[in-house]
Amino acid sequence: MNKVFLIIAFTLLSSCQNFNSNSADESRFSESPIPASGSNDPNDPAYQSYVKLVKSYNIIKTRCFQCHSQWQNLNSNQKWIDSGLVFKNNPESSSLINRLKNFDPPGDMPSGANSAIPNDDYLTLVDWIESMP
Amino acid sequence: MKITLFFLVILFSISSKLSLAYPNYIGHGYTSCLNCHYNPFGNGPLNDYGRAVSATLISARWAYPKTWTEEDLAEKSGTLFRKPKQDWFRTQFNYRRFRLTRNPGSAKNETELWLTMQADARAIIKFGENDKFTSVVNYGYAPAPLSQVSGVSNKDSWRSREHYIGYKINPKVGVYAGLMDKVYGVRLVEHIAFSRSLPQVTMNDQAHGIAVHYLNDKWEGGINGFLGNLSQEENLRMKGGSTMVERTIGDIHRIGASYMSSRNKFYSLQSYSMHTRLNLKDGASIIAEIGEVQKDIESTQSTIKSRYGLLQTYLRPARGFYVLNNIEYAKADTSDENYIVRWGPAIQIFPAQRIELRGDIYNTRVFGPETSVPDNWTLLLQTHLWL
Repeated sequence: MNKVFLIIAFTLLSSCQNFNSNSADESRFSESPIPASGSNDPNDPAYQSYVKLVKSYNIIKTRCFQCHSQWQNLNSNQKWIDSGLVFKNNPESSSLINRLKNFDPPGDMPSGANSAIPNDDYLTLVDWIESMP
Repeated sequence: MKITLFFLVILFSISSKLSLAYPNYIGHGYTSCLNCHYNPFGNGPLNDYGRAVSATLISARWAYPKTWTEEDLAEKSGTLFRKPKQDWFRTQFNYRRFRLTRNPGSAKNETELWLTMQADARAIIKFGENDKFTSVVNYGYAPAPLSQVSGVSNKDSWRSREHYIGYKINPKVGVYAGLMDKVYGVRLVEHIAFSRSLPQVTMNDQAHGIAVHYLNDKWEGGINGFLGNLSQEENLRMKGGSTMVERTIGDIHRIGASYMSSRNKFYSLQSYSMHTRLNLKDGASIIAEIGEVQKDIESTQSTIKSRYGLLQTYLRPARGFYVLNNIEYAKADTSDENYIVRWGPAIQIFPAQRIELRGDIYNTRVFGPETSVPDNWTLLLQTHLWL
């Protein structure tokens, strides 16, 4: 009987689980947290900047959040700059860009089975950083 | 698809982070994982027989006096080189560390990283004839995935890799309950192989559940119902079931198929695969697996399909020495024309019992009409010790 108790005690042992293949599911598959723009005028530079941010955020969400779930809170240009991942107006110095497999020399992201991101997406990210107000 | 196969290299495979099963040992005639592992589907602690096999058949004997017999080596395969004094309790310790070099040889772009991938303590309680009752606990170090090392990130952790109770109803049927790897596909040691990552059965994807294992002369298989990892947030847990079945062909080969269906709050996942393990004699073997994964996403009502393929060959020029080649294919999204081919030749050396040295170099190439991406090269050197 003592052995049975020992077995039960052993099998109740557990510990925290802070990452696996599903850790980032919530950030990858839920709605965008970017605050709405105050303007809807396509000619308004603020609105153009907002659109670029939303487009880029959605690309990063699709391509990167599976592993980089912590980036989901970066919902403004300033937060991306403060994170150190983006150098304003300088995509080549931005690790968000130069770690990509699309970059020359190629980086290692997205990792694993994910190939380089589509060229259109890559150019969207580059344009977003280059034109940041 | 164009695959340029060249380069003969030396060193190791992507990341034997865990002491997973070594399904290539079918090349030594071991069709079932049950022979050497407490978990009949592989992975986790070795049983006494498995430790003896690793000390004799697998490891070289260069380091030992010629007067030592195979029986002497087997007797020293217990924890801390001692023969167990009782039948009901076992402990094991595993340690793996590797050096990862990206773009090796490039003066401008070479980067190097040292990683401790595993530091596990394991305890096994067992009693009854042929280990009728078992209880396994595996507690150890879990490094943050490489892709999450930069920036504000998840941290390394210590966690229970598995803890379960097993009961063999009869020699053919066993029931296991607790935290275990999901029953699906071939449990490769290369846990980030596409055949492990796309169906979500990597080193971190164990789930609480119940598994039933069946084995007879020709068939082996299992059914697994799981509730996700109960220490994870409830909405992230993948709940569902899986099954894997293998058929023995010609006494020494296996073919098999797997199916898994699971879901959490955000999507459902269906995965199916076929695999084979072929015994080429004298320790040589071939492992192949192809599969497809489908994710149905709730928020967008959209579907993502992925496909993967794996071909591994093992040769054994001498005892304790394996030469392998790993070719993988992955298409993360079948609606996207891009796909990846990863190729990795390697050597694996067991110079003495309890020591594994392995080196891989692998090349990753992205194929696609829109992308022109230079190849990615990675070199991995690994030391694996166990007591």
